Amino acid sequence: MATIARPSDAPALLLSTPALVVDLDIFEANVAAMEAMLQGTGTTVRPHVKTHRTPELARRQLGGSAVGVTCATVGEAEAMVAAGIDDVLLANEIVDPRKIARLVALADRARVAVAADAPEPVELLAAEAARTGATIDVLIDVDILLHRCGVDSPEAAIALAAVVERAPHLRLRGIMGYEGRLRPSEGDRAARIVEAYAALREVRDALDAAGFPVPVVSAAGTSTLAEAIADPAITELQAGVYALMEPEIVGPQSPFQCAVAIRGTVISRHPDRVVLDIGRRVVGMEYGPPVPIGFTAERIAISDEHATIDHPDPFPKLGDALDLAPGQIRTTFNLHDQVWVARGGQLVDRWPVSARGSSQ
Amino acid sequence: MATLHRAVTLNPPARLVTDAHERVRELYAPDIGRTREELSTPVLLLDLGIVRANLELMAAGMSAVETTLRAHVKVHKSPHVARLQVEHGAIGVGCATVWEAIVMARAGIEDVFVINEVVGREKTRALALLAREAEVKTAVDDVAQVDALSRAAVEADSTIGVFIDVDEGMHRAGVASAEEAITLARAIDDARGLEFVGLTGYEGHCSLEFDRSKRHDMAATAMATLTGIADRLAQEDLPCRIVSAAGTGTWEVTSRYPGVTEIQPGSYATMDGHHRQLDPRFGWAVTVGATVVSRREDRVVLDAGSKTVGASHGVLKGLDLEPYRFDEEHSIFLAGPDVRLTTGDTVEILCNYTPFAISYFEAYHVLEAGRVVDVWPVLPRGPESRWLLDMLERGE
Repeated sequence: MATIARPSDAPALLLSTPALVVDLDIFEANVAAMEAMLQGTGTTVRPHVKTHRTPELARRQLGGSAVGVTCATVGEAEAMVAAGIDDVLLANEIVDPRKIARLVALADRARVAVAADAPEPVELLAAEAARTGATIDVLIDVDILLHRCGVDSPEAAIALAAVVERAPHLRLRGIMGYEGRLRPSEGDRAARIVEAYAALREVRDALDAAGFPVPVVSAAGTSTLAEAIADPAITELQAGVYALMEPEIVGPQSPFQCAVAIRGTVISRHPDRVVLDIGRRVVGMEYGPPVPIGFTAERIAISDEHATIDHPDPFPKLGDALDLAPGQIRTTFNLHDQVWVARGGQLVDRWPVSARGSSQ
Repeated sequence: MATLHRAVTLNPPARLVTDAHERVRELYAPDIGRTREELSTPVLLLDLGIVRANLELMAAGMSAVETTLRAHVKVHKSPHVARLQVEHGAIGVGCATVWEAIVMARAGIEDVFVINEVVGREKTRALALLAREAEVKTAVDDVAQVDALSRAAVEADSTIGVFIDVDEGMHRAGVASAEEAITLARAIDDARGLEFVGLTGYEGHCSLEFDRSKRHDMAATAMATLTGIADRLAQEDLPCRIVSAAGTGTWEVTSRYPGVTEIQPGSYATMDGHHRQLDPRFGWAVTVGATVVSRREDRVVLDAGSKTVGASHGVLKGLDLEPYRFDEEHSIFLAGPDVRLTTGDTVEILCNYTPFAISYFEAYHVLEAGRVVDVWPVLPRGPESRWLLDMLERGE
C-alpha cells in the first residue's frame, strides 16, 4: 500500500478518536496550486463545497480566480451564506416548492444561481422570485456524459432557455455539465472528455444562434481539470476535491496532495494485527479503503466500528494513535460534526462541519 | 407480546434524551401529521408498526429459551427504539462506544454493555463515571486495558463489569486461547474496581454466509470455541456469570447453544437488505424517503445517494426498478415510459445496509399508519462526543 506523509504528529491525547483532521498547510498549498493553474487563463473556479460541507474551509478557498462556491443541496447553500459567503451556485435540480422558497430566500444576502433541466421547476422558481422580488440566475444543466440529470439535446436547451428568459426575475447565466470522475487509468478517458465538452459547445452554439447567448459554461471536477482549463469553451470549473484530495486520484504528477486524515487509536493488539477504532460509521469507502499514513500495512479490513490492520510497520502499541487517509472524503466529512485543524504538525483549531447532514 | 423473562426496570428518560427529542421535534414540527409523500426529502423514515412486529417476533422466539436478549443499539443509535426493545423483553443494551452507553443509560436503561475494547483516558474515565449511575459493562482482550479500567474505576469510586472478548473466528479483536482468557480473568479478579462477568464473542464472519444451514454450522463451531473457553475458566474456579454472543444472522441457533446465556443482536429491530437475506422473518422498518428530481425517457433520478442511503445503496420499496447508478446526491433507476413516475413523485429506498444511512441523519421521521406521529433523534451521532464526558464531569 502507498505511504503518504503524516499530516500531523500532534499528541493523540489532545483529541478523542476517531477524529477527522485536516492539514491546513497542505490544504493551502492545494488552493494555491489551483490558483497557479488558472492564472492568465481567464477560467474561473467555483469550488464545490459538498466536498467538506465546512464554511471555514470554503472561505479559505475563495479569492483570485475562485469567484464563489458550488453547492449540491439547499442546506449546503444556507450554511455557506450563513457563514458570509455571498455567491453560490446550486449545481443541482431543485423541484420541491419548499426548497425553491428556501433557495430564493438566500438572494437577499447572496448572488444565487441554480441548475435546471425541466420547465416545471423553472416556472416555480420564476413565481417565487417574482413574489419576493429577488433575481435568480439559471444554468441549464446538460447531460454530457453521466446520464444523470440534464437536458439531452440542443432543442431541449433552447426550449428551456425561452422559459427562463420569459421570466422577469430569472436570468440565463449559462450552461453546465459534469463529466464525472475520469481516472487517469481509464482507457477511453481522453475521448470521453472530448465528447463531453463537444456536447457543451454544441448546446452553447445552438443557444447563441437561437438568440440566447450564454456567458458561462461550467463543468469539470478535479480529475479533468487540465483538460477543462485547456478547452476555451469552458469558462468556469466546479472542482471541489482538489483542496483536500483522495488517494485514488493523487498521481505522481499531481499538483495536489492529500490533506485529510482520520485519526484512530489501537484498541486491540495481536501478533499479526492491530485493531483501530475507525470503521465505516466514520469513514467513506466508495473509492476504496483508507490508506495508511506514516506506516505500511499488508491489508486493511474495515467493518462498522473497526479497522483491522494486518502486519503494520512500524508495529504500534496498544493505545497508540494511527492516521488513515480516507478514500472518499465527501462522505467522510458528512459523518463528522467537526474537523480538527493541524498546522506545522500541531493541532491548532477545530471547525464545525456546519452542513453535515444537510442533504435537503 | 410474549412473556418477559423477568421484570426489567425502565427509568424515565433524563434531560439529555428529552432535550434532544424536543429539539428535533421543534426542528421538524411542520412534518408531524404529514403523510410520507408530503415530506421534504431525503428523509430517514421509521415505520413503527414494523418495528413493533419485529420486536414481538424476537420476544416470541426468546420466550422459548432460557437465554436472555441484550439489544445492540449501535445500528439505530435511537434511545427511543432502545426503550421499545427493553419493553419487549431485552434485559439491557449493547453499545459500540462509551458515548452510546451514556445516552442509553440516560434513556432510562440500567444495564449497558460496551461490547468493545475501550482504550484512551477520556473513554475509560467516561465509563467509570457512568458506572456510578448505571450497571456498566465492557470487554477486554489485553491486560493493559484491565489496568486502565481499574485505575479509572478506583478514581471514580465505581465498579465496572468486565467481559473477556473472545475471537470466535472473525479475527478482529479478542483472545484466541483459553490460556489468555485465564490470565485475563485472574487479572480482572485481582483488579480493584472491576468485576469479572464472563465472556463475549461475535461470530460476525458467519453473517457473511447466506446459506442457512452452513451459517448455523459455522455458528456452532464458533460457540464451541466460546463455551469451551468458559468451561476451562470454570475449571480454574473462574466461573462466567454471562456468556454472550450472536447477531441477527445467528440469533436463533446461538440462543439455543448450551452454555450461551445471552445473545446480543441489533439489526432485527430496523433491518436492511443484508440482514433480510439472513432472516427474512423480520420486516424492513427503516427506509430513506426520496423525490424524483429528474425524469428522463429511460430513467428516474432521485435526490438521495450515497451521502444519505450509504455506500451499500438499496432498492425501491414497491417498485421493481433496476438500479443504474448511485452517486453522492443522486440515485438513478432504469424506468421506461411504462413506469408511472414523474418529477416531484416520492419513493422509499430500502437500504442494503441500514447503519450507514442512519449515520448520515440526525433524526427519524416516525410513521404510523402512513403519517408522521413523531420525530426521534439519532443520538449520539458521533464520533466526536467528548461533550458527554464533560456532562458527566459536571455531575449533570
